[in-house]
Amino acid sequence: MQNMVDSFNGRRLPPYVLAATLFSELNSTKQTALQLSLCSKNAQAITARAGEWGKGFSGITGYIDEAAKEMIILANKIGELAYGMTKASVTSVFESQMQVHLQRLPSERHEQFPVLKDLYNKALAKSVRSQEENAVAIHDLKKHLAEIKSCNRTLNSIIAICRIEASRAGPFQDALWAIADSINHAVVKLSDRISMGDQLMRLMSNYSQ
Amino acid sequence: MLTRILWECATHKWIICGRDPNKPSGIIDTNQYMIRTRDRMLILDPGGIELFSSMLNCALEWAPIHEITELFASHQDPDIISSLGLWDRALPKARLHAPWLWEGFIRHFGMENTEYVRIKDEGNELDLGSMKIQFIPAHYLHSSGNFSVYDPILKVLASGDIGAALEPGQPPLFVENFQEHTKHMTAFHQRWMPSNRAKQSWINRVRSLEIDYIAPQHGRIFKGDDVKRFLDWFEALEVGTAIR
Repeated sequence: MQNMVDSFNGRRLPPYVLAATLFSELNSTKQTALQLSLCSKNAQAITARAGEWGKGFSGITGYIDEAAKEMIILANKIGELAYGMTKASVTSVFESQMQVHLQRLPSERHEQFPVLKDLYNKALAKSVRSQEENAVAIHDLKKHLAEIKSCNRTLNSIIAICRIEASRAGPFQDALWAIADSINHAVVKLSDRISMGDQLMRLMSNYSQ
Repeated sequence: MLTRILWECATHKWIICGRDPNKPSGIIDTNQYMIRTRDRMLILDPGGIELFSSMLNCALEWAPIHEITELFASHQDPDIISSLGLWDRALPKARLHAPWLWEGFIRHFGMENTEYVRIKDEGNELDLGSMKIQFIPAHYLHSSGNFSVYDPILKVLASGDIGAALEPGQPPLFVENFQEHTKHMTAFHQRWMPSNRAKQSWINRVRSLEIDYIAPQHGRIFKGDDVKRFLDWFEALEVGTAIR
């Protein structure tokens, strides 16, 4: 993240770069959530085979699956919002460029052709609208990111229970312990992405003020 | 940006915009031509995005914005048409006449409101109301889909990159000493023009037209006897020399 900021040498990061980065960063949460979902299916299969030994663990798999599904839905929503923001930011840049060009025209030209003022106002209105849309999108993104965080916290607390239940699974202990490890790995990965998302959101909020 | 009438008659006038002292350094100087009829204006190769405000300012000196109805792109290069995205937003009702070959590429510059009018390979005419211009094929000179513009009334050929010269500073508009001028054209034509066959085909076609002026997109304009001198010089020049 810092590398990206540094690479701009003090120049302001274009908002569409931030939005596109957010899109790509949080899109990977979907992959991780899909892996989690697969992990839960795997755990269900093991606990079914384990019978009595797996009863404790089987109660947890539903929660894992639910959290994974919730994350996929949130990641999709975030993806759509971030993609929309990227497009709106590009439009905004284009309209700002138009405004700059129109401002360069001599004032007598504007007096001569009132249509230029309309054109300027239209470009201004469009870029303001894009900025407003982005402000709403930032608000929604923050909300969804908070929900993903909450899901991840749930998963994090499930890991401890997974390990306890895995240790009670007798001959199936290793297989279920491996599932708990996979969930742990996914949670760490998700935490990384969420932290990256947080930083990007902070930058976006700063720029939108 | 310099702008002035080059040639005029009862039905229309040719206007040049170029020699822009405010153009950002490092970008090639370009000539933009405009054909103004009574109630319409065509901008030939409207130029790069960096020039847009200067060009808009010049254009409005000759026509109100709603009368700028036609744009022409001889080919797809950025110095020809990268300003399209801004013209597209600025002109309420415009058509872009450009080689059919480049449509999918030129649209990358941004085109929501403008109509793309495909020029077929053999060229065609554009009716501007009080006069008609002809799009003359100039494929591979230098672009694979490329046209010159011919005005049979004022006998002007806008030749795009053919006849272009890379001359430092702000040279005069017209060639004054042809021999001297070739110094600024030779390397450009040898490198940018890839095909001797295409070159000869264009020369043959153009020799059948009555031409008083050849107006390239870069550098000076050829007039009178220099038109024939240029065609002879170009015919003798070996092009496509960068093959290693």
